[in-house]
Amino acid sequence: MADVYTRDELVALYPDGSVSVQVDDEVRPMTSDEWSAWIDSQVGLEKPADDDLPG
Amino acid sequence: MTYPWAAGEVLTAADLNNYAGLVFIKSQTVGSGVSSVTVTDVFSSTFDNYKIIYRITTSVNVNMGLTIDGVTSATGYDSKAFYSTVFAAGGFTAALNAAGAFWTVGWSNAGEPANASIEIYQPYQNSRVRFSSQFSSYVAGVSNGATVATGGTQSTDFTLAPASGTFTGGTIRVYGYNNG
Repeated sequence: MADVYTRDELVALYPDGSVSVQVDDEVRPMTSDEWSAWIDSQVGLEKPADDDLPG
Repeated sequence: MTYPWAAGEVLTAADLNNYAGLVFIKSQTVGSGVSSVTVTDVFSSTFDNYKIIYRITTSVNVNMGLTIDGVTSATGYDSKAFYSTVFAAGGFTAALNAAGAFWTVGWSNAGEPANASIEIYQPYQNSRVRFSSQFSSYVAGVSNGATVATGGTQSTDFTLAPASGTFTGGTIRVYGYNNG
């Protein structure tokens, strides 16, 4: 079974204020509401598997 | 006037407009720790088809997704074929992706720059848009998208985003294919 992200893991990886969105040259941090929704959208996604990569 | 031009000939605007097969439209530098980058005002009635070249400096090992503005369907983006060495060590196997919320146009690697060349067909003129791409980083592959229905929207922007996490650094360049 694939290893997937939990919400707690994602919050540790991407704390509130650390994730931005960019439109052209404007880069702005997500608001707390945007960040929370983005974290929710990432929950359950498979973690990157480095050992799947060809050597 | 017919190419190649000869010394002394006077070039008209029409000559110059038709000279370049590929016309630079816009370049965008990618910021730090962004979940997505939207590049605006690149598709128009001037060109039917477009080439997007990106280089991403750092990311995680995930698919790269592309969407066009005006199409937010969770199942509207068909990625019918996604061939990449990422699926088998030393091999080159395929994944047939179901329709999703974005086209899978490439792959990003942790600690490795990732590059892709993406063709977008008629995002502004047509009610059904298609793409194809070739990508390379620590892994490599090709991807083809069947269609996304725009519902008549004339898309002018696109957004590039990793399937999960954030990415940092690099450049996105957009060119239009001269209709001639």
